[in-house]
Amino acid sequence: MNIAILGSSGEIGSRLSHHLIQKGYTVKLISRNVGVRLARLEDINHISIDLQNPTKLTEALLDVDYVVNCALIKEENNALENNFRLINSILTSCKAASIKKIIELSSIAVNPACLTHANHEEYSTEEDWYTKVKIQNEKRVLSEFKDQSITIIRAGIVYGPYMHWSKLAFSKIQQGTVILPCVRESVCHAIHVDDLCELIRYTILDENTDSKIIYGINPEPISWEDYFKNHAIQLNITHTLLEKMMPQEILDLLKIDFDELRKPSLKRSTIDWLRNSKRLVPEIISSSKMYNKVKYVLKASNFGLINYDSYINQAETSHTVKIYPNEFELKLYQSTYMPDTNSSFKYSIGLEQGVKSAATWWKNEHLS
Amino acid sequence: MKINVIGCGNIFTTFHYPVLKKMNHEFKNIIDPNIDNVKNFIKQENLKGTKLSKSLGEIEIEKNDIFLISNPSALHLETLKTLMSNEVHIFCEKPIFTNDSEINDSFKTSVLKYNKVIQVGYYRRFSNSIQFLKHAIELKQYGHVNFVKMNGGWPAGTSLPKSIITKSLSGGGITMDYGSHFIDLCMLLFKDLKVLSYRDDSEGGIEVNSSIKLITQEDINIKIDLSWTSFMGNYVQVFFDRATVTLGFNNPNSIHILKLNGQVQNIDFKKNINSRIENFETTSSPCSSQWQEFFNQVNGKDEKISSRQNAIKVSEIINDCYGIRTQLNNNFGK
Repeated sequence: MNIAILGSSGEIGSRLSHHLIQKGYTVKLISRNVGVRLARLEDINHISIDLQNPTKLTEALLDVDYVVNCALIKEENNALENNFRLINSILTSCKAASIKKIIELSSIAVNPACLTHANHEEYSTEEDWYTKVKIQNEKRVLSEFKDQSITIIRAGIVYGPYMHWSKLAFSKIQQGTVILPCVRESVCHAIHVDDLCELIRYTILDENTDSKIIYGINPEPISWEDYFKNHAIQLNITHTLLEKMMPQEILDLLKIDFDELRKPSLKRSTIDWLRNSKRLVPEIISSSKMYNKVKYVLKASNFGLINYDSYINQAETSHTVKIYPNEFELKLYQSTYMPDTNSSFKYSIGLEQGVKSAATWWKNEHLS
Repeated sequence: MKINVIGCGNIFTTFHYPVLKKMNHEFKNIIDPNIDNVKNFIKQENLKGTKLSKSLGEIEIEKNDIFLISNPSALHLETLKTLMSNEVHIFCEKPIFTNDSEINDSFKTSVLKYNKVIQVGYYRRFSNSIQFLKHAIELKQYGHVNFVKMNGGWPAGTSLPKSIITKSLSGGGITMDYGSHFIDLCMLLFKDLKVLSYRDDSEGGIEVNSSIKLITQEDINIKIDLSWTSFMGNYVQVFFDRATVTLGFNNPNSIHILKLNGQVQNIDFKKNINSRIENFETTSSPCSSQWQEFFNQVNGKDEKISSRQNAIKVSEIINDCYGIRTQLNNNFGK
């Protein structure tokens, strides 16, 4: 069984490559460059080509049975056009090389924001480039390989060592700038990267999968609060919510209703405006202590800061701290719906264990 | 002067070329098997009169020609031998060789006694800050040195070229490539070194994380931690009796002194480093300073900061490291 991983040097691609090599599979790694983590291994079968060149890609895929596509051009400018060329080149090459099955790595981002149902055919109307590219890719794969064996995996929040979502959680917690959604039980559709790799392997082996679209989401119910709390615990940051951190006098002064303040709202929009207003407000005002004090107290009171003190201290020296998530992202975090994963795959990495593995990497990389 | 270049990859185009261009030198031949890339480069830079060749055998070598060896590390030794037989001046990118089983004592002697210039690209020893540190150690400005800590590296991801991450071309990973600079600085500061221990995380390919422990003749311990997967800070820290001195590895003009005379201080020497030491010659950039010394040597002057003896020793130390290697367990969060 020959497997090709397209985009083998990316975050997920390199983890998957390592995973399948360790399991003893014959894996062909195809990407522009080899990443350093894979360069540690002996005799890896890496082919360095531009995936947008169908002639070379077809040649590389001739002895391959299964293709896992993790490739994505991560450039915001002309993202749709560039990725359209990329997916077409991949599909043309897969056809020409008579590939048995394609596993397309998609994202839960293709679902409508604030997911409320599991209608696979309804796509998100969000305007961000990543979502649009993933929707475009899914549609191309589904139409071009209609009668062939394909599986589209809509992965949730992929976290773990080297993963964007863990980087984000750890860094935002360290900065003390995280606000949790106002819907406390809002679901974080998380999946540990090693579970995703295993799911991909399972999908390759499973000849009986009749569903073309499956969800890569750990069925363990995880809220966004759980997600950030677990990352915070690993960094020994025990403060969880702003209520416990804000000085009482500020709480009394502002009469804060935290749940109310965590919703996207006019007040929050005002804060967002204040955050970005430095260029609009005359410097004499924007650099004044009073302006900044008001700005930061308002921000602190509005955005459930995990570590108020560190944020305020940071605010004294830096005006560039960004609160996470912004209003747009916050809207996306309000869902309480858990889609059916459409697969009998058994997830084995719980949140606590998964975050521990991410922390091993993060501490080594950032706190050594 | 007219320079012949062997290997027109990133090291030459982004590093040596701008410096040599600024110094108004010309390029006689560029030799690289990837002729299309070289053609593009020559066209882009409008290098009229520069000849292209695929291999060294295609060009006519004259005595006293100047050659820059910037091909993959594992090819340095073979190229060096060929050039030495033609009595030319050689600027060889570091390391001078990758595998010491391929060379013997007589070859080392022939390198040391070679009557033309051989300089190896350890340009960081030319930085103002490292020269300041060298003076401080020699003059015992802050007392004796008790310990040295060096950290180097960054999450390189997919940014490194094939010639660096393919073992058959590079001869090794981060220790051979980036680490050789740190070991060279140790040679500059402490003359002679021995390897106490060495660990890296290679699993048959190149190492991307490593940890080296060295000891000097004066029993000073040196620890060098290197990584291409982590932010390492890139610094050299020397613990003296009366001060802890830190210099940024990539900032040739900055030194921080902590705990001077028992008190915590944080002094930035940037811009006025030469005022601290009499007759201290500051330079504009380490790389141009090294090339300047190279051309001075071509014109008959002696080695001043560069040292071919040190360059050989650095490669020997790296080979000693690989010889006593133990596994550094880096499971990347697994």
